[in-house]
Amino acid sequence: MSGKNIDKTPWYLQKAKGTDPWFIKIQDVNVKVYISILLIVTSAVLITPVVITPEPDHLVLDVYNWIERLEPGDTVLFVEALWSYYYRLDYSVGWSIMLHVMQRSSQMKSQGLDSLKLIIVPVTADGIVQLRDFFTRCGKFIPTNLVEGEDYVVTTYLPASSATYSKIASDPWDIIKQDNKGNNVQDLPIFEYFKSGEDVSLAISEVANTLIGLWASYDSNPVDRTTCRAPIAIAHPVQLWDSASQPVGMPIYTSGQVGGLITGIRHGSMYETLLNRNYGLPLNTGYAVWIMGAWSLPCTFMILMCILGNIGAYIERQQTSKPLGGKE
Amino acid sequence: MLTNIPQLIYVIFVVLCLSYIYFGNWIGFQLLNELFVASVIGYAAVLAFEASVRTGWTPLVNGTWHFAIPLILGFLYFSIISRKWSWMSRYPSIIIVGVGAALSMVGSFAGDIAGQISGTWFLVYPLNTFDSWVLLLGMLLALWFFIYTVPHKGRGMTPVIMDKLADLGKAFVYCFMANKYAATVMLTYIGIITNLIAIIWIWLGIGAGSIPI
Repeated sequence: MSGKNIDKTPWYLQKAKGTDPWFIKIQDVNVKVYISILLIVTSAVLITPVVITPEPDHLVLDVYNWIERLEPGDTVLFVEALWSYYYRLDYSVGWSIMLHVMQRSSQMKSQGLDSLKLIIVPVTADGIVQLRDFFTRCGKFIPTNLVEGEDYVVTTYLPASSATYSKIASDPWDIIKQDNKGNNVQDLPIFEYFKSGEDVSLAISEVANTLIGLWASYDSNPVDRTTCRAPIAIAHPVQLWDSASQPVGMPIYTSGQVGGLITGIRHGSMYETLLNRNYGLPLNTGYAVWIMGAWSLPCTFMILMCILGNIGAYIERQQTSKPLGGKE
Repeated sequence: MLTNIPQLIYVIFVVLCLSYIYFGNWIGFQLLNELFVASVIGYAAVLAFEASVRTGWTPLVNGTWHFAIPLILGFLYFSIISRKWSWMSRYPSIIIVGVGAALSMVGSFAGDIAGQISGTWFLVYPLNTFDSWVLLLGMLLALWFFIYTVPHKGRGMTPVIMDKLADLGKAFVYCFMANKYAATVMLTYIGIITNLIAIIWIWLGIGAGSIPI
């Protein structure tokens, strides 16, 4: 033997690291670098918001047009399940919907017609606190011709459970005794419009399957979203869900079980855009438009890295004949 | 800017949370971790005690004798601390699981099973759009993937048409799972944005969001 150390490394690996294109190298970059980039991008966009106003899709328009179609004296039930700051961002579209109902109600009232009756029922322990946040932030956009107790009301907290929902839908006076200021239901004119679930012309809910399952018993047929109103509207509530729930919610929406489906920041920003165009409200009554940029740009970066990383991994695998399935 | 102690505590906790990214499981993060678990358990314990007294004990001493049954059943849970008597804790567990499952069946059958089956049919029929064909094929193939449990052919053997169909069904299932996973990542990122808002808008008082509308 010659005694020489023969390098048995294949030629295409001998200088691989030095000549690897950048999209192969990015797989070896420390994950902290990526996280730092994400945090810097997000922070920059939070300091100077990139205002993104996407065109409303049919899911948002369904709900928006439903509210526009409501008639004087119709009752809107909002089962409010905000339970933490974390979800407040994702569900801030609920604020837009409440403002929309109030604005529409105000228009009717200023024309000498009966107003819409908005009944907000918090079903989480900190629901009242979150609603107080809504009235603090958006209070100046609540029309002054609306009277609490006559045109809108926030009830006392009710624990979220099957029994609660069933009772709200069947015999609300038996479970809702007072508003959040301690006034009895009997003394509030608005409750004359809400004596049963069949009085509701639009139900909005932030809780999912329990509600659908129970209320489906009121009407098991697929909803016709263009004509749906009392007495079957309560069987097909509009669902407000977080960003992760659209894949889960779509089958329930497409099957006609729910009257509408609005999920997350994207739909929230669409709704805020609609209110801005049609009612002149500022874009930031909720949080969706403002954090749309801070949410979209890092997500775009993540998707880009996923695509490039996979291309790099594929090419590297072709070069080194690594088996499928990641690291050896 | 920070105006009160709770906000200051909130921001400190956010910083301690984010410290995990750069410093790993260091003492500050561990402290926060223990504090969170302890406070959640403590809060839940106080709430549970208060609820037991209000909804169980008070009606019982006021003469509603049958409230003793759930109270006794609930008390049986404590038998788990004794190796000899721990079997007694199974009775309340059995009742909770059985009754819970039975009650949820009412809603879930109407909403999740019957409603979904009939709703899907209404959606795909009549088959006059591309979407409805994709939906129908996706549904049938995904069902086939789960129903076809015969072992597929191994390497070097020609798979039968049934295997191929199951693979196609698997592709539809993967599409759904990928979509769900991506949505979960996006939701998680909202949590990060929330924490950054606490630091940038509330603590440092910079950015458009720090100004009231």
